[in-house]
Amino acid sequence: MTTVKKGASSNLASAQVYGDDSSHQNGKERVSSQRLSTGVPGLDEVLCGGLIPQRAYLLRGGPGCGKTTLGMHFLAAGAANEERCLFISLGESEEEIRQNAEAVGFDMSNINFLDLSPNPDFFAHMESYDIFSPAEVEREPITQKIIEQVEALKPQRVFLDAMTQFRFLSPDAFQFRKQVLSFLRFLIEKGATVLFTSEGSESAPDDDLQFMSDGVIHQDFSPDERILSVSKFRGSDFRSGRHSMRLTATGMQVFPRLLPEMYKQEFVAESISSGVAELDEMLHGGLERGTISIITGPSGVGKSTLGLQFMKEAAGRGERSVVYLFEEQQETLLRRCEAVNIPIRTMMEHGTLSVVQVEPLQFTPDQFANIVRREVEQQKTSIVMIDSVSGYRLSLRGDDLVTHLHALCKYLQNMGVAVLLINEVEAITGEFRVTEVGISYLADNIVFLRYLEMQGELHKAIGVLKKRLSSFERTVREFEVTRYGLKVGRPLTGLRGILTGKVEWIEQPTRER
Amino acid sequence: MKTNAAILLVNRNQRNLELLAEFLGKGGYAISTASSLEEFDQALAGEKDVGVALVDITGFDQDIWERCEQLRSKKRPFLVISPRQSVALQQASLSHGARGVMIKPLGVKELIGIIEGMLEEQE
Repeated sequence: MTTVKKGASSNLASAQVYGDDSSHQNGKERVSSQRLSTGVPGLDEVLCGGLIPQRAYLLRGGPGCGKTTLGMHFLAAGAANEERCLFISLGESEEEIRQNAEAVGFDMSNINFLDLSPNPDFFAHMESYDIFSPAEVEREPITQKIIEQVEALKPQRVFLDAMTQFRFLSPDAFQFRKQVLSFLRFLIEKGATVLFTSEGSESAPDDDLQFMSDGVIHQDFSPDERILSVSKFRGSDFRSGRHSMRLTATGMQVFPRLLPEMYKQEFVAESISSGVAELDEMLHGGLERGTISIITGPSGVGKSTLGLQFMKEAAGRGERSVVYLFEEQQETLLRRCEAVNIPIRTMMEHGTLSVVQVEPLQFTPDQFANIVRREVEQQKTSIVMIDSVSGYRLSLRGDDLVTHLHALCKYLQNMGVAVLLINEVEAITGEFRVTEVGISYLADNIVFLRYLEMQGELHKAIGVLKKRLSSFERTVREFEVTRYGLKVGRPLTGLRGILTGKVEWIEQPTRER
Repeated sequence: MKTNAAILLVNRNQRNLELLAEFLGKGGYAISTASSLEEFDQALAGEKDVGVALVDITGFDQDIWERCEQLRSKKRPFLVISPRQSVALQQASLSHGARGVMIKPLGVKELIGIIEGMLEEQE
């Protein structure tokens, strides 16, 4: 196993990173030795370990995107490390910010404030003016206050909300640029790592600020999900793309987009047996580790049970499996399994099986992928079953779910996990189709289950369509779910038309078409 | 260069007056202020010598022009400060004796330069 420790040294990385920080990587990321934790679980991972100290970073996003929350995480992480932290506010008052922060559970007691927001007197006591521009009147006292505070405190972390306010204090764009650059340099020379926000919009673009900063973090909000992305990080690699983000009652969480190629674990690509001799015979040994298998078939034919059969056998070897239920209720599954001799409750008690029910619209694909990642990396899970693919597509929020499922499967594959995708086809009988969602290209193995009508009786059949790592039996066998477990019969060699569902005996020439 | 004559600042907005007084005060000029027509009248009648005047017409009615005429008759140069660019306003100001019209917001350096020029002329 190639395990590369991330670069955040223990005294700098003060906050916990989502999942285990010692992620399995092949060391492709460039990691600087010293990083400052942002305090946001998952964001440090996106930034390859955290922020590089003594730089200035821009945080941009519309209203309600979580800029201030991220800033609070950043300062709280510093304060927890006994660093000197300064919050410079040009919009909200100190009191408001403290109240909001405490509501989310941040400890703001060791954070210094410089409140430059307008006080009520400005309105009530006719303090508004128009004779000179704000640049002439207010810039100097504000600058003076900042200089005094920074000189006195020598902060190591500064969060400034929002830099765009300074635009009103500059007579023109050139002056603004010069002032911001000089201001940031002043802070950095005093030893601070600066995070500043901008209120960019179409009518007031903040492109200039993006050029001036050492790193740019974007926060975005769509009806379906909150997104965080990094577009610039001088001197470091970063994880590109749109990462899902959550603002909860305890602050912010970032779920880094899953890049399968970043994870690798050595494993033996051995076959894992189903425990049913005939089935193993069909598969020429079983399903291999690190492969993706699609179990496809119509409703009620026994797809989940077939998947769980592999897990039952794995549990016997002491291996752990996990089932993500997108459709069925957990209790139904438990009862169903027990009725067919799969001791699911015992397996769960022993920790060799975990059944996770995923509620509709609860997660985005990135969030779900992070849950799976944590499971695999922390619990050393060897089989993952997604029940079902259409449930996954319906339950998760966002677009492009096939791509996300692809990435998740590739990741699991790289980690040596046997992936079982349960795929339901709508047609009970009729023309055979492998899947209806265009995912068959993903599969290393395809096992199909079918209903057959034989002399007026409904039967089930099982067959293997594809197997990348080994040969397989090309016949179809009868398949039965009994109270003693799965039963796979002898090859149905005397029949034809199995894939159409209308089975005919080859020996009866009169009924041939 | 500095004279004892004061700069009369006429402005209805208290904060504007404060700021003007603050910036001009830094230049060492004597300042007197008026925030209403009554105060303007008092300043015109008062003992303190008014050298030049800055009249912000914002919030005043037509009566302001009468006071401007008084400044003209006393040969005191003055500038009119206006919140917006307007040809009619400029014509009215000049016809009542103003040296010029300045549009808000004013540039501090520019303002001090013009006042300096007017005071020099007074001497």
